[in-house]
Amino acid sequence: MTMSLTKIAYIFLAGMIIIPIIVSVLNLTNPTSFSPLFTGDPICPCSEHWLGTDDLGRDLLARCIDGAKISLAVGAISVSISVGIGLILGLISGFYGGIIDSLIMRFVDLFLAIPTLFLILIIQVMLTPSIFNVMAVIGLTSWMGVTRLVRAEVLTAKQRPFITAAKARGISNTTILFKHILPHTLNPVIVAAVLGMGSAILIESTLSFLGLGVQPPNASWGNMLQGSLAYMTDAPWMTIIPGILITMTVLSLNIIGDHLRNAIFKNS
Amino acid sequence: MSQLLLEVKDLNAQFSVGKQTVTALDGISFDIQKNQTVGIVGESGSGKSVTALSIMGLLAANGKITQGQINYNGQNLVGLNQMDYRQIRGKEIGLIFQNPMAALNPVFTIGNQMIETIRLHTQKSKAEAQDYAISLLTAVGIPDPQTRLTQYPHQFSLGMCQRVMIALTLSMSPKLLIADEPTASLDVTIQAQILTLLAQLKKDTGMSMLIISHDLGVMAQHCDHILVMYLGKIVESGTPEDIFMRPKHPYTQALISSIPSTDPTKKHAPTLLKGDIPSPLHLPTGCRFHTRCPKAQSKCTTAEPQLQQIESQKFACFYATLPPL
Repeated sequence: MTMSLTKIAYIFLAGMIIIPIIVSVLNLTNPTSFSPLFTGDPICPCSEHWLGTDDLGRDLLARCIDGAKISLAVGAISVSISVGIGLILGLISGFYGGIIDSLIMRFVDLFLAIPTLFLILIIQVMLTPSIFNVMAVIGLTSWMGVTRLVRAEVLTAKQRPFITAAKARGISNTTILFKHILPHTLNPVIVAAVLGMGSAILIESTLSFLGLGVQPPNASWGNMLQGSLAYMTDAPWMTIIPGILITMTVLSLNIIGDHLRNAIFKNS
Repeated sequence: MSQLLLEVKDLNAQFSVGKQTVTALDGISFDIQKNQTVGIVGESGSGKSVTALSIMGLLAANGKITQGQINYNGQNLVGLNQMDYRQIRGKEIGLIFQNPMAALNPVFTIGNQMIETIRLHTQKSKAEAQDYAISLLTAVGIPDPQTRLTQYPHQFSLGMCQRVMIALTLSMSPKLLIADEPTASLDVTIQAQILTLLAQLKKDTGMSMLIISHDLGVMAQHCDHILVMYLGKIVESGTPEDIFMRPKHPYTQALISSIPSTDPTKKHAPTLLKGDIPSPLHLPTGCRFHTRCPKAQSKCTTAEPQLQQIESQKFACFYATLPPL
């Protein structure tokens, strides 16, 4: 049962990546064009529009696919930023110890004490909301967990005999840290990155829903939900479909994260 | 004729454990001449490995050298900054570890680690470094070195790993090789191979060696000079003949009597020492060995014997002239 659920999650996520790529490469749909059938009310799912249209007559399937591209890109890039920062700070903190370690760790504590979502909201209100700002802001506010994980791994790795052996060969600290210790810290980071992608997608949806994320006419699952608010009873597909996509994507990422964790740490 | 390579003078090293301080080395002095092999024997916790790590400047973060000098070719290594120490480590003094499998990074191939080390210390190109690595692996007796270079440490047996470790250390052609229990984790037959290999390499390269072991047989066969350590102090030192034929210190005598004999007609009961090695946190007063010494008398509990010298032999015991046990 668990296995089949994991498979579904992998297949679903693969679809979320592959379908938007195929669609945009072949230029199959246009998420911002208006349907000729549009008369003023959202169109029900039919043979012309498989998932119906929104309140402006734009094809919902096309917008969902476009939204998938944006949501996953936001997830991937913001996680890359947070993992990058977390890795570097964690490596330095764990390896050098002492006052540098204390400073970085207190900085982590400080950031963890700030309610991230409100911080992001304030930053987004002050900056012009754009996809790139969303990516940067999410990345810059979610590196603390990775920093702690990497630091803990470095503390164990640096005690291992091959590190002493590398030092005994006259290899410099920088090389030891980035070449010999770094690979030993990656296992938990991979898991954290996948789980972090799920929460990054959730934050992006929240921001877009509040109008502080991806701006129309660009499609994102979050701003599609926002547009559907007024039509919740008349055109429920406008709410349900992006909602299901967000839930399924985040759920898939969490299942995959758990699966990776079990696979990596099965022996330890 | 002999030239001094390494001179350790009155070396003290301490570790802080919580709020307490443990003295791991207390006034260690010895010399290593060029092309000489010096051995250190002693039980676990006697300070053998700490001596090796002190010379390499690689004591753990909670340990430090509190007193003394380590003069290598006239240069004092104590207090040397990390940048300068890196010029010494590897190129001048090489270190071989007890567990060769753990001393190689499991995520890189043997070739990767060898070529990295070779290129760090020489101006060789990648291809030249690879050729050099292959010739070194051949020299330490690894068959099919070309293929072996592309393999990971886990694909090697322990004995093979130790050969790789030796090749890796030799790639920097150190003038002093410190072998910290180089054969402790190996089978006896492999032990003999590794030791013969080390002796051969020493002859070929003219380097000096410091062998740390608790295997007295190894010491007798390979060393020119032997130091016996107990609880951070040298209790006796001398040539193998001194140590094995005329041991003066009761601890050395007990160590030697504990060597099992391979002659079934000569079964002898080893001199068993009472109790365990005392905790370095609560060192005994007077002579450190008195709690376990069969010859101990009241003087031993209050006064600390100093090393005294008779010809090539030094020992720290008040009653060394009493007949051996």
